[in-house]
Amino acid sequence: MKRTALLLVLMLVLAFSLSAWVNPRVTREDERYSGGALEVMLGEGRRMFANHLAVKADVYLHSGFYPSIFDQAAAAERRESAVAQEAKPHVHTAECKHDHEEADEHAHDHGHTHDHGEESCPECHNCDTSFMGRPMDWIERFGRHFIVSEHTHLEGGKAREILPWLKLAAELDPQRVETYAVGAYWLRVDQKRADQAERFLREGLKANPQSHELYFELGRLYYESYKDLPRARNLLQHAYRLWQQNEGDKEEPDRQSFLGITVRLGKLEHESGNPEKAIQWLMMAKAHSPSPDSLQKQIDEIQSEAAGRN
Amino acid sequence: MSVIVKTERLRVEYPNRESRNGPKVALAGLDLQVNAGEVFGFLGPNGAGKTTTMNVLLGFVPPSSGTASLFGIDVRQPIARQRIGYLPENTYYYKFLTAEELLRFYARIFGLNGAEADKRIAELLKLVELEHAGKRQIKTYSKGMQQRVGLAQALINNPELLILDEPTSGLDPLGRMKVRQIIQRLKAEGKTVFFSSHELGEVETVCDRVAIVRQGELRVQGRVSDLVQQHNCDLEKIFLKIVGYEINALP
Amino acid sequence: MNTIFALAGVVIKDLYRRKDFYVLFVLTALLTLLAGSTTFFEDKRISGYLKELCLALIWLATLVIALTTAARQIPAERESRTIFPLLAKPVTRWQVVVGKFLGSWLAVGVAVITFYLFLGAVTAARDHSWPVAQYFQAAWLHWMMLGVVVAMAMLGSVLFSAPSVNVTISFIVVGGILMVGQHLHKVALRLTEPAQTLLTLLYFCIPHLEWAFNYRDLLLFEQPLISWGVMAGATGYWIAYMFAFLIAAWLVFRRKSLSVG
Repeated sequence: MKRTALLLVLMLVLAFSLSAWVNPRVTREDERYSGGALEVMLGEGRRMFANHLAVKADVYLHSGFYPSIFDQAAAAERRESAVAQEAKPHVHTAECKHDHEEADEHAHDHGHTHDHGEESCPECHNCDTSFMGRPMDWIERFGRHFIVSEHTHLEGGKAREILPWLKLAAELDPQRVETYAVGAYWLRVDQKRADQAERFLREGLKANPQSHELYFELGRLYYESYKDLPRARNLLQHAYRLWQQNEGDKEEPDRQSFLGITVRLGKLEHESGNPEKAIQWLMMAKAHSPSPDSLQKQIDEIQSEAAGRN
Repeated sequence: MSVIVKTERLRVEYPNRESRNGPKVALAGLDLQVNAGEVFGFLGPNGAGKTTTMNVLLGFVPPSSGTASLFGIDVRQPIARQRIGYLPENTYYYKFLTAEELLRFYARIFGLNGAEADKRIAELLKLVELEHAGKRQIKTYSKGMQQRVGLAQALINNPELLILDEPTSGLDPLGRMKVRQIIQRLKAEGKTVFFSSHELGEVETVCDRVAIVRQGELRVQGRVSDLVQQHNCDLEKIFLKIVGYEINALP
Repeated sequence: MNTIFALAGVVIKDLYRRKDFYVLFVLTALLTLLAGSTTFFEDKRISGYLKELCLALIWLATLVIALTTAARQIPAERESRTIFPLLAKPVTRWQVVVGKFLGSWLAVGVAVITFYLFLGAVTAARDHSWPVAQYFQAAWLHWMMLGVVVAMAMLGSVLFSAPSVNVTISFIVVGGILMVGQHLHKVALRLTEPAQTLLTLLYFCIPHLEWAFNYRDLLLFEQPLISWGVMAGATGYWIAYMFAFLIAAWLVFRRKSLSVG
C-alpha cells in the first residue's frame, strides 16, 4: 500500500516536471501572452463572447433600449423599401432633424458607436422609423409593455454599470482595442476616475503595444484629466507615429483617430504657447477633415492671436 | 342478500402489437357476483385474468364490452370507489411520506379531516401494529411494514368492500398470519372482502366462496364447502384439476 | 377541491424533501455571492451585472425546477405505481391532473419567492434600496409564466412516458418561445408561402412567455412600473393557456389504460 502511494507520488512529480519542461518549448513566442483560463476553455470562441459583452455594455448605456437581431433585420428591410420608394422623402430626417455628422461626433465623444444603423438611432424612437416600427398585431402591441421602449442614457454616474461588461470583454479578448478605449473614456469622463482609466489603458497596451488608439486615449487622459502637457505631448506624438506606421499605407486609413490625435496635439501646442506647431498640427488635421472650415477657423484664431502678441 | 360486486359478460381485449392474430383477449365474458358480507377468493393461474378483473373493477382499464359494477354503480364512475378499499399486490406508496402523512393524505381524499382523521389514523396504525413507526418515512420500512401500511390505507375510509390483490405475497409466516387475522376481523365486522391469492390453504381457511378463472373465463364459482363436497377433495386439488393438471401426476 | 389540495400537498412535500431545490438555490446564491465578491475598477457600487447574473440564474433554476417537477409527476406515479392505490380511491383523472399541476405550480411559486427575496437582498445590499412593487411585478409575472410551463410539462408527461424526453422537449420549446417567440411574425414576413402562413399561425398559437422574461430589463434598468391592468391582462392570458394545456392533458390521460399487472 505504502509502495503504491509512493509510486503514485513519484509518477505525479514526474508528470509535472515533464510538463513544466515541455510546455515552454512547444509554445510559440507570440502565444505566450495568454488570456488565462478563459482562453483555454473557450478558445477562439471567446472573441464572440467578448463582442457580445461589448454590445451588452452598449445595451446598459441605453438602459435596455436596444434592437434585437430581428429588429435590425426588420429595420433593414424597412430601409430597403424606403430606398426603393425614393420618390417619398425620408420621414426620419424631416421629422427628427437628426444630423448624422453630429451623431458620428457624438458617438466618438461618448466613446461608443451604434452599430444598429440609422433606424435604430435612439434619438428617433418616437418617429415611425425607430427600430421597433409600428406594432404589427395585438400581441406585439401588448408585449411592448414589458420592454424598455423609451430611450435614456445612464445618468448621474450610473454609467459605471457598463464597466463590468467592458472589463469582462477585455478579459475575453485582450486584442479588442475598442473595449479599453471605451472603458477608459467612461472611467475618465463620467466616473472621474483617471487612475482607473489609466490602469485599464495600460492593461490594453500590454496586450496591444502597437495600438495608436490606446496611446491616443492615454495621451488624452494626461492632457484632459492630469493636465500634464509634456507627458501628454509625448504620448500623443507616439500615437501619431504609430498611426503612420499602422494606417499610413492604407487606402482607407482610420481618419477619426488621425483627427483626434492631430487636433489634440494642435490644442496642446496652442496651450503650451507654441502657435507655429499648433498650426502645423491643425493644418494636418484639416487635410483629412470632412469639415475643414471649423478647423480653418481655429487656425485663423491662433494666427491672429499670435500676430496680436507680436 | 345484496350484490356488491357484479360483472356481466365482461370482456377485455388488449391490442396485440406483436402478433397479427388480432387483439389479446384477457377476459372473455366473465360473469361474477360477490354478495355483501362474504369473503370471496378469486383464484386462477398466472395470466388467467385475475388482475385484469381487478383493474376493471378499480377503473384502471375500461371493459371492451359487458358491464362491471360496485354497489350497483358502474365502475367507470369514481363514486363507485367511495366505499371500497384496495390493497395492491406490491406496496406502491409515496416513500418520502411518513405513514401518518400517507394516511392523512388518503383520509383527505375521503373527506376526513382534523380530529376525525387523527382518530382514524391512530386506530389504523394500532390495528396494523405500526403506532411506534407512524412518524417515520415509509422508505425506512421493511416489506412487511410496508404491506401493513398498505392495509391501513385500504381501510382508511372504513370500506364496505375490500379488494386485496395477493395480500400475503412476499410476507414471512408471521406477517401472513397477521394479515389473515385482520381479514377475519373484517369479516367479523361484516365487511365484504374480495381477494386474489395463490395460497390455496389460506383461501380455504378464510373464504366463504371462491371463483376459479382460466384463460379469461369463469370455470367454477361457489361456496368452498360445497365445492369440496362436490369434488370430494380439497380446494388445491380442485384448482389443479380445473387449470388442467392431472391429479394422478402429482406425487 | 379537497382531493385536489390533498394531491397538491403531496407534490409540495415531495419537492421540499428532495434535494434539487436546495442544490439549485445554494448554487444560485453561491455563484451570485462569488460574483458579488468581485469588484470592477474598485467600485463597489456597481450592481447591474450582479443583478443580471442573479436573474439569469434564477430563470434557469426556476425553469429547471418547474420542468423537472411537473414532467415527472404522472410518469413517476406510473413508474412507482402509486397511481393505482390513488385511482382506486374516488379520485377522477381530472383531479389528478389538476392536483399535480397545482402542487407543482405552488411549489415553483415558493421557489420563485425565495429566489426573488434573495435577489432583493442582494439589490438592497448593493443599491441601498429595494423597489418592492417592481420586484412583486417581476416575481408575479415569472410565477404566472411558469404556470404555463408547468401545465405544458403536465401535457408532455401524459404524452411521453419518459420524463427525460418530456423535460428535454419542454426545455427546448420554452427556450425557443423565450428567445424567438416574439419575433416569429417578423421572420414569417421573409418566408414564402405556405411557410409564412404556418409561422404566423404558430406565432399566434404559442403562449407568449417572453413577456415575463422581458420584464427583467425593466427591473434591471429601473424603469417605471407597468400598469396593473396590463399585469391583469397578462395573467388572464397565461391562465387561459394553463387551462388549455390542462384540458388537453386530461383528454389524453382519461383515455389511458393503466394496468397493474
